[in-house]
Amino acid sequence: MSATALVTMPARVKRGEAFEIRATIGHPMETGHRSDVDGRVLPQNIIRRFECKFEGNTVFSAELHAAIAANPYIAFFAAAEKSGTFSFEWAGDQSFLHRETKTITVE
Amino acid sequence: MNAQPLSALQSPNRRHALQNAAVLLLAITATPVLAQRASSEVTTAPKATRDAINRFTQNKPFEMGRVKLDVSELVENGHAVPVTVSVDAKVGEVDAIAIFTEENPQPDVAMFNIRQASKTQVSTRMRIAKSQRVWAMARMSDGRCFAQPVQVIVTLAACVEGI
Repeated sequence: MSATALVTMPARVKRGEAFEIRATIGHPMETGHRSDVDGRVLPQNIIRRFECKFEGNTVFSAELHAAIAANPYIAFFAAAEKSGTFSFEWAGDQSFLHRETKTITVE
Repeated sequence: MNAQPLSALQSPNRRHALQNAAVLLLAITATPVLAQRASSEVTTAPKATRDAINRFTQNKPFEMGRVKLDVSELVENGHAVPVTVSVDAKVGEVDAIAIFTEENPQPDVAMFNIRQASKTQVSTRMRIAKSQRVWAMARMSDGRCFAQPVQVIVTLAACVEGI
């Protein structure tokens, strides 16, 4: 399944300095509590897990439930001691899986 | 031991009884006042919310304060309400942050593992089905838990509209 994700973070940071990472992904986060015009309940389809790693080490992870709004937005803080790559992974129902990467330069 | 009659204090078991009384007194006074207040606040929450909170705190009592839930108290649209949770603690002291609701179909909203993050703060956008209390919780690396409930009034609720 393809999705559009947007990760906003600085390209260059100072060593060890905290910076914000904002991650949004296009996803309906269907709660499983709504029905369509014919009264059929729409099956639950949500992102269950989000994880951010830096060079393979987990920096931040989240467990999401149906009460997270559509197109989940998560903002958190990270820091880096050296230049490297941040990877982001969203996983959910109906084998949903999406990955993004962002490189960062430490000055 | 405490159920024994007062005469027990005069019996050969007197020392024992006094020791027990002292231990009991210590246990009562050592219980943080804030934890008592937190417990009384949570008893007014629905059972599903209490269960979800207990799962997060691993059934331990928790205290009010240190965690701050930043959310608009009057929300026009419950479909996407920006929320920020921050914890008054050093980086690495906080294991996890969680958000719970009292009146949504499910009490769980999200749980964030921030042990490796570089600031004890996280933001997201959540659904609020109707006017209710929203709980922010934090679990420290030493196992202690903190909470802050916030009453949110929603004028246009989530989950009600058709498609």
